[in-house]
Amino acid sequence: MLFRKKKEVFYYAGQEIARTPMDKYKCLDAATRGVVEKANGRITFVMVVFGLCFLAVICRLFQLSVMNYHSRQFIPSVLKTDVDFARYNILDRNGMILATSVPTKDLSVNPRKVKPEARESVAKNLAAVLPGVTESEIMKKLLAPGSFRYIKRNITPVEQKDVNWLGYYFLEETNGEKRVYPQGNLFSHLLGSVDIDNHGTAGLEKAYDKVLQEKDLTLSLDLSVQEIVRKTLIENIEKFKAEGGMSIVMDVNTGEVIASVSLPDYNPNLPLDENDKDKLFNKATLGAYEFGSVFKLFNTAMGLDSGVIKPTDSYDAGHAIKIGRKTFTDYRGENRPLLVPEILIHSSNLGSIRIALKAGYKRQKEFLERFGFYKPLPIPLPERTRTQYPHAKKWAEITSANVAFGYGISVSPLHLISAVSALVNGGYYRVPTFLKDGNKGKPEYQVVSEKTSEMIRHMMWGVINWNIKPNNPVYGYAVGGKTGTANLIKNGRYVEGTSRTSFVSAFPMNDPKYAVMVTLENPKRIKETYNFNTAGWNAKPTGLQIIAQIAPYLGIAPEEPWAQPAYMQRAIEATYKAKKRW
Amino acid sequence: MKKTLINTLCLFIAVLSGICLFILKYQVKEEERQLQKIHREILQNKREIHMLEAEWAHLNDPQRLLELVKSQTNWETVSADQISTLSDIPLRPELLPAAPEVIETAEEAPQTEPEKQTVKEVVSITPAQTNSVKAPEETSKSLSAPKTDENRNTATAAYPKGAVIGGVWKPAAKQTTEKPAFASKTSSSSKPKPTQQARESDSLKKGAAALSTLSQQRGKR
Repeated sequence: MLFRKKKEVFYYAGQEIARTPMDKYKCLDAATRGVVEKANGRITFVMVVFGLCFLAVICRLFQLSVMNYHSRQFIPSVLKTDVDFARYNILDRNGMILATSVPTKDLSVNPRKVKPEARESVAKNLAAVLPGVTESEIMKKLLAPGSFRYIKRNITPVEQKDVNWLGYYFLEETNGEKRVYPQGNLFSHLLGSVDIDNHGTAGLEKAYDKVLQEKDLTLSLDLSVQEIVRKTLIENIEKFKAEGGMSIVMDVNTGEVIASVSLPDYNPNLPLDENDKDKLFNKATLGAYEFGSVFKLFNTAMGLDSGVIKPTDSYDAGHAIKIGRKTFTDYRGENRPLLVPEILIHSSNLGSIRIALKAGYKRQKEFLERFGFYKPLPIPLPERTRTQYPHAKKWAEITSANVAFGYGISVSPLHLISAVSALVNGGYYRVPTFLKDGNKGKPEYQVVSEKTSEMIRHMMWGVINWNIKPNNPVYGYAVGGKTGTANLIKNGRYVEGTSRTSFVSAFPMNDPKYAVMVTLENPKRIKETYNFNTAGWNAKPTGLQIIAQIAPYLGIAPEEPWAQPAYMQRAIEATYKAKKRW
Repeated sequence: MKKTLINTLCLFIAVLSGICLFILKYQVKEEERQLQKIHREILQNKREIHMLEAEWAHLNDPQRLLELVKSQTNWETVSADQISTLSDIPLRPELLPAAPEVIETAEEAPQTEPEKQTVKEVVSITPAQTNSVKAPEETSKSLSAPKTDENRNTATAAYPKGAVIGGVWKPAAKQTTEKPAFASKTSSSSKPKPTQQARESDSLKKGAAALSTLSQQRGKR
């Protein structure tokens, strides 16, 4: 019934002929008909355009619903199941959290909505529940023009509850985020800080600002090692009444920094006092210091690597050396010819100077350049120092003699420990990194030959082990090292009686894995050390204490005594003989 | 008539699909609501986990842990002399006599005797008895090397001393002697050679203690 056939229309003869669409306009005059025809044409055009549009839509629908059926995703209205923080975590090498963001609330006000007569009571009530914000501050914000003012950012849940109880409709709570450092002081210098808008302002937070906005950052640092190092350093700073200190532990084969402590430090979770601004100074990377006798390692390595000296050579350390107007002597010198290993064992300035003079200052200058001592370290940390070294034109014999025992050239501790790592690891220099696997695929530079590296390892071993006793906590770890003491510089002059003592070491020396460096700022003479304040009495024991604690943790097993080559045995025997004579 | 039937059928299908679509739409809406709810829950849980992780990191502050360890246990930092290798643990005494015979023959026999065979014999005994690590090729060196008179007296002299540490064979540490380390007049090679020094037969208890320390320490790591 619904689809009944349409009735046929009846036409008279000839009526069906010439029934065109325009026939009905036959009655019109030519001008009007022209206009109508034009309008018809336009209508057709519009219909065609719309038709094509619909066709396109239909094709697209077909493509989306039929052709791409398998690839299309059913997208519900709530997509996100990830907590979207503005800043991600910083982890240590074992995945422990060193820095994280916690969601908080920011409290703001729309001053326009606050009635003028209510302002005072509002300010009073808010100040009562919000510690750290005064009534006058709130009043100032309520009187300010505009429709948005923060009253307090990162309010605690308790504060939030109290504010909500006040029931003010003109207050707003927006989602905020606060950076938290669960380990407190432990990584303060390295991690740095962020500003109120969660942008890095210092340390690794600034160095990896963009990375941290996208994903977690895993550092090469080890929480436990850092704690051991910091604790030992604090104890020894107190013991020797030092003004500060610094220590770095580095993986010599990868250049990864395992721990880096600079004291005094600060708690990054708390606001810093104006008086404590100097605590922000990261001695490990931002300080440039003269390290004294530690540089004798490089001096000896230079001689050995260039073939100027042999480990079996001996050099006079009995007579002072005069260059120009300056006379060089030894501190508590041996006053006899010393074998090359003995020069390091007794830290003889004279022996070192003779090696440097024999090698020539040009070679010395070139050799030290290999370790990157003339440039800031190419690390992304903003706290990097420029090094200080003798001007190229002024670098002559007297400069060379100074540099031979570590004066006249200032580098950062991180510079030094990377260079020492290169000396002991077979001669390969790697740029230090704070990231886990940060040096994977990065180039390494051969700075000394493997043979030189081995000889230096034996000599560093001799410095520590020639008179080591079996009850020493590091006995068995084949520790090698070198101490260095340098006077502090104040107002451009060396201050007598003050010192910066350093100890740089690596272990186990037969197959070095880790390097440890300790520096104490101006340690005092104490009774236990027989009123000595050189590095051998304070920085060295500190370093050895650190090694004794971290070695078992790092999985280093004590080894049997390391067989020494003939030149080392000779040197140690000579040292023993000389000691007996006393 | 036929056409009418088809028309009716089409109409029926249209109405049916309309109803189905109606029901389906509300089902999907409900599912989506559920999904939203679950997503919200996941998000909330993740937030809570994040906070708990932060708290966990805070509680894991090494200083705090150290204080807890000090107050709750009598643990101390491991010192070098507390670390031992598996090979420091002596063999079970009742199994010992079998070994020296093989070694004695290996030593007393002239050089012409094929060395490999004796090595095989020794190696095949060692793991079965100690139930520990396999000896690497260094065993042959230690066997063929000339031995001092002191070493010959003890039964276990020829056994390889050492352990697998981190997948690498490491020769065992020498017994602590009073001599300074440099006194050994060995060649200038830098690699530590496997020790040939005899083990003391009465170190059974010491070895057991060392093993327990070692396992404790490994567990800790």
